[in-house]
Amino acid sequence: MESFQFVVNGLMLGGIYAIVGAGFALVYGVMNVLNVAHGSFIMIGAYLTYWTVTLLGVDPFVTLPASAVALFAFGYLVQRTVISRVLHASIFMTFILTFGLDMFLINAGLVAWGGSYRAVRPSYADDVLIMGGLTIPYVRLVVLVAVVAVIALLLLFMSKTRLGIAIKATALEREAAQLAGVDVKQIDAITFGLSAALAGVAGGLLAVVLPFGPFMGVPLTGKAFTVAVLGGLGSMTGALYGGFVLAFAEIGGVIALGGEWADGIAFIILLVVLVLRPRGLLGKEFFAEVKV
Amino acid sequence: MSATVAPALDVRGVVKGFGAVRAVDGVSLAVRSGEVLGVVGPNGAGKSTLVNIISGLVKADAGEIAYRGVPIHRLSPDEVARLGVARTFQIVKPLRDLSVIENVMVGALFGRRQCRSTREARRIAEEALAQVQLGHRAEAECRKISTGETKKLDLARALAMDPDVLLLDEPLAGVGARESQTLIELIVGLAKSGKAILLVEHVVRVVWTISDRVAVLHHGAKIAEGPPKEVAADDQVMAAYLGERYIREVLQRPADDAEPGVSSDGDGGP
Amino acid sequence: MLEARLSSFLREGQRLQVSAAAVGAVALAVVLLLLPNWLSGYWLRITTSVLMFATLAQAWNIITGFTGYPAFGNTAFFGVGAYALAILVTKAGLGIPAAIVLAGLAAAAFCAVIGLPILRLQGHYFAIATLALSLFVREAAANLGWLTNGAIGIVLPTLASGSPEEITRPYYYLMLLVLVACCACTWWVSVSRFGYGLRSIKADEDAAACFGINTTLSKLVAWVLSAFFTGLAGAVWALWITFIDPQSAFNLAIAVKFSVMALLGGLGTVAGPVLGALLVEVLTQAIWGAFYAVHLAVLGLAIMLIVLLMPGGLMQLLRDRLATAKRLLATPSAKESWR
Repeated sequence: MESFQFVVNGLMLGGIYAIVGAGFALVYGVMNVLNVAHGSFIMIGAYLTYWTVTLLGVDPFVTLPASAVALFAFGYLVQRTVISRVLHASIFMTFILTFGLDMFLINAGLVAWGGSYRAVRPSYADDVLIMGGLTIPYVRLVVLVAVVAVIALLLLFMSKTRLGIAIKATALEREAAQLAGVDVKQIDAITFGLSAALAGVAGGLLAVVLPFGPFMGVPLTGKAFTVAVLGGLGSMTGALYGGFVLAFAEIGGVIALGGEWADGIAFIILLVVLVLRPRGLLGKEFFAEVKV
Repeated sequence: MSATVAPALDVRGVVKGFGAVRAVDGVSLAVRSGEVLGVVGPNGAGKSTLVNIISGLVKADAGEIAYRGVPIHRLSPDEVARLGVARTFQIVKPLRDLSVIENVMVGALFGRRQCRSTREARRIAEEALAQVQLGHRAEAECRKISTGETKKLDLARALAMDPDVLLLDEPLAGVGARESQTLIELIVGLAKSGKAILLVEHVVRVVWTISDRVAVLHHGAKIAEGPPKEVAADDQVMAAYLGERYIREVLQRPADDAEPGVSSDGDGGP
Repeated sequence: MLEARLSSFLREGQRLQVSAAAVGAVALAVVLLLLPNWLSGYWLRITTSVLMFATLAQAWNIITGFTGYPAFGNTAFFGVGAYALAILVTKAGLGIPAAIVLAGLAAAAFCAVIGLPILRLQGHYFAIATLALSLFVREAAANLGWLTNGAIGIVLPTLASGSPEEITRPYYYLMLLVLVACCACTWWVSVSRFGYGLRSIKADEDAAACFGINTTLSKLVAWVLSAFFTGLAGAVWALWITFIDPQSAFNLAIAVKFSVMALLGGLGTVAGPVLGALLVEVLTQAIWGAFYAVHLAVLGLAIMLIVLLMPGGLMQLLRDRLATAKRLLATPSAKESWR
């Protein structure tokens, strides 16, 4: 029974981590930028879902496509206006720039919505599915389905559409993609938008299962780093696997060591993997070359 | 290879593979003090990899390298450099943010000389820059100098290290004709003063002019070695591995090149 | 002999610049020593904070500006220094001076242990690893209650009592001492053989090794020095605010701040980080005063603007201006000297 619970929670959390990490990895793969503000995009997504549900009374899962679109636009604009200016700058520049962006977003959120914790509670929040001897909250099941759907859509998009393939090509070999007629500047902005959209969806999903506040993104940025490194920096599919690895490691770690260590586990995994296998845990890399 | 005195640099059976490719395939070479050993071969023949292996940047899969009888193939690049084996780079790596003379000072401070005072290092660097005729650019920022000048800078830095063995990886690439002549004279002079020089160079004519012996690499293996005239006379080697153009270039040299007989030194190949 | 020396001394303009800088530094030191007599308690606290951040920025400069390793997680050493001091004072009952020095050494020792594996990484990987380190140490501090009191934190005794000025004064001088030591060390790095090694590593680590530089040892020493001064600053900070907990001692916002300062001032220069600390702190105060409720959001925007508008830092800006001025001044006579 407990082990079933463990698997459901692991899959759900892992799926969310995977979505968060995949977006983060895409940006690194294409632009060589570690986006420290990634967690804040998640936070914005959570609030978008919260306010849409609160003001319009719609189902939280219905809000996801809308907040994906909104965050895509936001990410696209941020890339065009800010990130694009430091693409050729050193790591310090991109790091500190996105730190600044993170700081701005968090505190803007704090000013706009206050510091108190909120939660999205659909009408069926307390309903559970009873199957055999097992009880599973419906909400978690729907989150799980949504996660699977988002990952499937993302994989389809990346492998079947012209745009997805152009993104992959740009990440692999920027100059070659450019020579082949890809507008890489446009791809940069679209990739950043896509990454923000994924973060927004993850935020909406998290809002349904956990209480959240303006600072919710900070640890999630840390998770995104961990997931991306687990999968090999810059590899989107690697990050998808990495999300599940991290989630199960965390849940297992909490069972073994106690809840206080949840975040510590992620960081120690990150350190150990970096030191022992800096090019990622999961073998082959999707985006072959790791740019430093 | 049975000299009574150990050669300055002795490379034996070095093998290095990258994936399925054998970049260096059982190469053996020896360079004695006072001698220039030219290493030629088409692109991808393993010349630069060999230099990287000797200088310790790349670890060989098999084989041994000795400096004056002391094995160095397990040492790190800095240890090799401190023993007295200095190198230049095919693609020069000037240290950004440092001026030309400061770049050369690094060689004096950390090479075999292990110079403790920066003032002394500056004096040595000035001498080295004068040797390569780059003294007038001493205070220039190294991002603002020409390709030819970076080549000279690289050589000056190697000289400032007070090397006993010099590994020169295409020191003339991108250098103008007149400057090349200066560098060629310098290299010959360095050999005369007792340094052992391993010269990797694309400009075959230069190699033929200044090398005491020449080794030809192809697909990572040594296919010929001997005095330039003899290797050049081996039509088969030249045609098969260096191409027609090189033959013409070599044959254009005045007279005396039609001596038969190959000396591939008996042990060519793995 | 003496004459020859003197003339060679004079010939080198750079040396003159260095000695001018030394004179300037001494004058500055005198002003800084007297400063607490003129400042109110409020401004003395701000100034002390400038000194602390200048130390952190300068220490970061050693590993990042000179060696080229983006150690964003230097907050780990700040926190270790703070906790080491708190534990040494409250649990071991050590005297303050000894505790401060030992706290710096603890941070340095910690760095020496974790430095070797982490310094094998480069670029983004290194940056991420240092961040992870900092976050992990924070979790450890929160969870090792027997040593650190966990999330409850540690309360420290105050050093002085009386007016706000009198209370802050000892911390001001302690911080000043740490900053001066850190700047002296950085100056030594900037002119020494060791520093040449670091700058070579920054430019090209493989090439540096080929010139005979023991890159592994050099960068480890650079980071340990950086950690030592960061730890000292953390120790004095802990004394100053008299209460530390994991959230405040391992606060990544501190890292953001000192890296912005160093970057704004100019990495790889001795004066840059100090200048940057002063400017950013003044800017922070101004923003705080003008936009009380939203000041952190505005500060975030300001940080972004700084990066976008001055990517080379202040020192670079000054140097460029100076070079342009020199060129303009030199133009008429330059042609002749070229002949």
